[in-house]
Amino acid sequence: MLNSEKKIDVIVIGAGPAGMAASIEASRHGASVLLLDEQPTLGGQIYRNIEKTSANNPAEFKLLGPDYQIGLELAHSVKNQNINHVKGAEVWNIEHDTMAVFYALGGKTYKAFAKRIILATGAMERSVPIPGWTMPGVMGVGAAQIMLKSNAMTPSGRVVLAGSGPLLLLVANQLLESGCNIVAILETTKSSNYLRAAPYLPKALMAFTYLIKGHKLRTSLKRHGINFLNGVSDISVSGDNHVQSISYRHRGRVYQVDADLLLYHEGVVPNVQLTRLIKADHEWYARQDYWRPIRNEWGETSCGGIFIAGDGGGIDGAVAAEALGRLAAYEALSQIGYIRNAKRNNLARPARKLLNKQRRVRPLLDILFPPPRYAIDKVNSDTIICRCMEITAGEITNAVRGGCKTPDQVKSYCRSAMGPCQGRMCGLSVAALIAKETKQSPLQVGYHNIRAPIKPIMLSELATLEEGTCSLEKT
Amino acid sequence: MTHGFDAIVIGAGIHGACTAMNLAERGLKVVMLDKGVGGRNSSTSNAGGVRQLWRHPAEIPLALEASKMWHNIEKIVGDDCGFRVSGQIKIAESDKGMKILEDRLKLVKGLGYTHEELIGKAELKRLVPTVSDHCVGALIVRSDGFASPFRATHAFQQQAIKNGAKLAVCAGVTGITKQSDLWKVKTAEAVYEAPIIVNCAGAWGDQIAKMIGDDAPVDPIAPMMMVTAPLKPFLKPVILSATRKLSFKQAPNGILLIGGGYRGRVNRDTGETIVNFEALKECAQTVIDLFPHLKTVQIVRTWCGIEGHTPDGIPYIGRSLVDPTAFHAFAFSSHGFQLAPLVGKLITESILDGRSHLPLEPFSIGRFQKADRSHKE
Amino acid sequence: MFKRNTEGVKITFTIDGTPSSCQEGETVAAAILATNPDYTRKTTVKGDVRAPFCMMGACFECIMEIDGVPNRQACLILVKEGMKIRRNKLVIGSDWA
Repeated sequence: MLNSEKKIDVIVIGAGPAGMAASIEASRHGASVLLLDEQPTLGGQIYRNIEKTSANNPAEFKLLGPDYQIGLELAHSVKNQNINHVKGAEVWNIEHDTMAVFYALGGKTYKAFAKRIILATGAMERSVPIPGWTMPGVMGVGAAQIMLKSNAMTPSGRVVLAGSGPLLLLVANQLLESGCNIVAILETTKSSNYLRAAPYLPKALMAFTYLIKGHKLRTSLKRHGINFLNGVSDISVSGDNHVQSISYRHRGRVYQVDADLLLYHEGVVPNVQLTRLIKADHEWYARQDYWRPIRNEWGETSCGGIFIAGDGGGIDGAVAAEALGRLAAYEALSQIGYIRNAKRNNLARPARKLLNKQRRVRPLLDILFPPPRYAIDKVNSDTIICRCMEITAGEITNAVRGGCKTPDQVKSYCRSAMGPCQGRMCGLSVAALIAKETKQSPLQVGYHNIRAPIKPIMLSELATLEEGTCSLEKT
Repeated sequence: MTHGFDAIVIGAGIHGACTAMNLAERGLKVVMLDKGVGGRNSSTSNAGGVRQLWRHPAEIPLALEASKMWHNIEKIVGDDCGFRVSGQIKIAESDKGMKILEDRLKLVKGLGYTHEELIGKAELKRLVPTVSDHCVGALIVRSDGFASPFRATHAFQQQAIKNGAKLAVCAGVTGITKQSDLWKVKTAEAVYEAPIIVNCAGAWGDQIAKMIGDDAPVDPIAPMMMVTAPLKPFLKPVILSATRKLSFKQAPNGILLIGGGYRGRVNRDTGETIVNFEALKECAQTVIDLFPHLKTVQIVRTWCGIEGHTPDGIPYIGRSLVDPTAFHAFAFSSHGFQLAPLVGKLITESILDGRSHLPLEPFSIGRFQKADRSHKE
Repeated sequence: MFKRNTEGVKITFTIDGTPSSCQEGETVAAAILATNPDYTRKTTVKGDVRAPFCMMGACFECIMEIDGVPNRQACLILVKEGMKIRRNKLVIGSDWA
């Protein structure tokens, strides 16, 4: 049954902490809400599969820790508020001037109109193009966590974890506690980062919590006798169609370790596909080498009426994401007319307090775990940069030397970023390579022009495009 | 350098580049001025069709000669431009469609041309085994094909530069005046001077023409393209339809390029285009009707080019009406790609020899100046 | 590459015609990671073997044909009883600009 009537008050895209919080608040204050998410269950990435895991797998629920468990309340509230949550909905286009959201579901596509749109599409792991990174057996650390959370599966063979950041250590511990065979942890962080970070310590009230957590994780890992190194560089992967060994440099010497799985992590970056699609203004966050949409204190982008909440607007973490979701909802409610500004400000106060508290640790983390410039600075010409189209660093460099100055010109020349991922995996790397060759900053180089469909749609899906939404019962 | 040029070419898309290439080859000092990097709006974003099939009668002699040049393109620009001889086929789905094709064949034969050929169901199925069984026949030009718009445009630009032409990018023209035999072409940064100018400014050609003093209406439109995930090779010719909007081909790397003149929205001043998915919905259904097995094929990209259309659908090519040292080659109405290797040569002949070896009167810049300005949708 | 740690409702499916099984609640990509061989596709240009990288819908390494529909992101789809899963093994090269 199709409802092609009036506009929905708020369409929320993404059911992670920001999306859930925004939906709940909007709905609580009387707005009609449509929550679209491509995953089969609520929770986004951090709270993946939270309902099923808490219900069916108490041991694992405990193992995943308090940072995961707090998502359960949000998921329950989404259910209690009776929010129209459409699972498996692939949003593939948004038109700002008509405030239309196009999504695919069950072989058909729909065009739903909204008064306000809240994007809560989160972040993704930063791509680090090292030699051999495209072969089976190399995954992001987040991917291993997803295997644990959504599928209750753990690596079966020898695991090496590499890179830097809080998530690396957290997952290492979770895997260890699940009985995995971790043969090495190769941290690329230099101990000198701690010295550089020292000035930020006093401001980062939560810093001590982070540092203590980190210290505990390290101690636990070392206690298990795992080869835990830091200041590691020149990591590369070799094998015949599958990871067989990892090579790395430590204190001037090159080593090799046999492994079946390499889990790599160098932080997360905002997923900007939708904000780029609507042509919102973006700014370059140089401390972490990523683009993020410019937003006001409520999360509204430069495209009026469209908000970004959560890590999709800049990496602030899950708890901050919840606060940002609430703030966006309050402003949307106020703009539509459900609440007045005074009430909006009152409601916002606790969320803002929470947000500011969460943000205080960010400068410390940014200095402790800087972006992996080594990947592009020392890239091999035959390392693949564009995974979809199998384009190497050498080919991209040739394109630049042939006169291409922007990511889109490089794209026309050698077909990079023309595959289904549309630059999600290679966009930042291509721009960094151009920046290196032309001696500019990535800010000057810019980013790919993103166009619809941002996820592939079938001809038959496009042929069924209709205005309206599917009814709640259909999912 | 802004002085000492013999000719200024405005627009470095495929037509501007080919013109500059020919002029430079004959010894002129040429500069191309482009508001972007050259070819962004039309030359590199079209479907790449190299087509003599279904041309307006005035264009047929040009298309026939241009086709021979495409078959020899590597000698002309030092790159094969991805050119494939695949044939182009216009399919009839019913008797009504066949009648349209038969009438066309009669017209073309009557003018003395034999390049278009009518085929029946058996031959159609032999050439396109996966086409839907309800299709009854087609009109074909077997020597037609397609090429890579990006590679071709780039090759013409590079050959022009190799011949000695200069290219100034991000040099949009803001004003044109004439002072004692010298054209002064103003950009944001400089004023270029030359005794000859050529207007190859595509969808903005009417604006440049106006600066020169010629009045030539252009309707800027945004034709859309869709591209799919790669498929096992199943289609050789380019497919058109006798009764519906469609232009559809499979590239050597397996992807399908789908177009047909479905229009998005365009703001010519900002260069912004917006894809119209309701129109693409119709395009998708057309593909499925003709090739039912493609239902589950995924579209991975869509885009709009910006084309200049004229009221009668054929370009402006030739000398200005107000000044014998100004020339035009623009508004190719979504089908200028195939003509590109030849048009630059014809313009060069007009400039240097006083006349081109093929008739350009039907393409006159002034043909609408006395007539009613309104044009069909 | 991965192994299961819990007992659950068994689901059977075929991968390239070969029967296999997994547990209810797993995504197709996860199920393949616990199968042998554990790759999801071959690349279309060079025919390189690939397996899931991100497991969250960003990398497109897990695209597979599922019940006749090609190029579906296997990490976003839950396995259903009797599903027919096929790997993309089409290798065409990149012969065009």
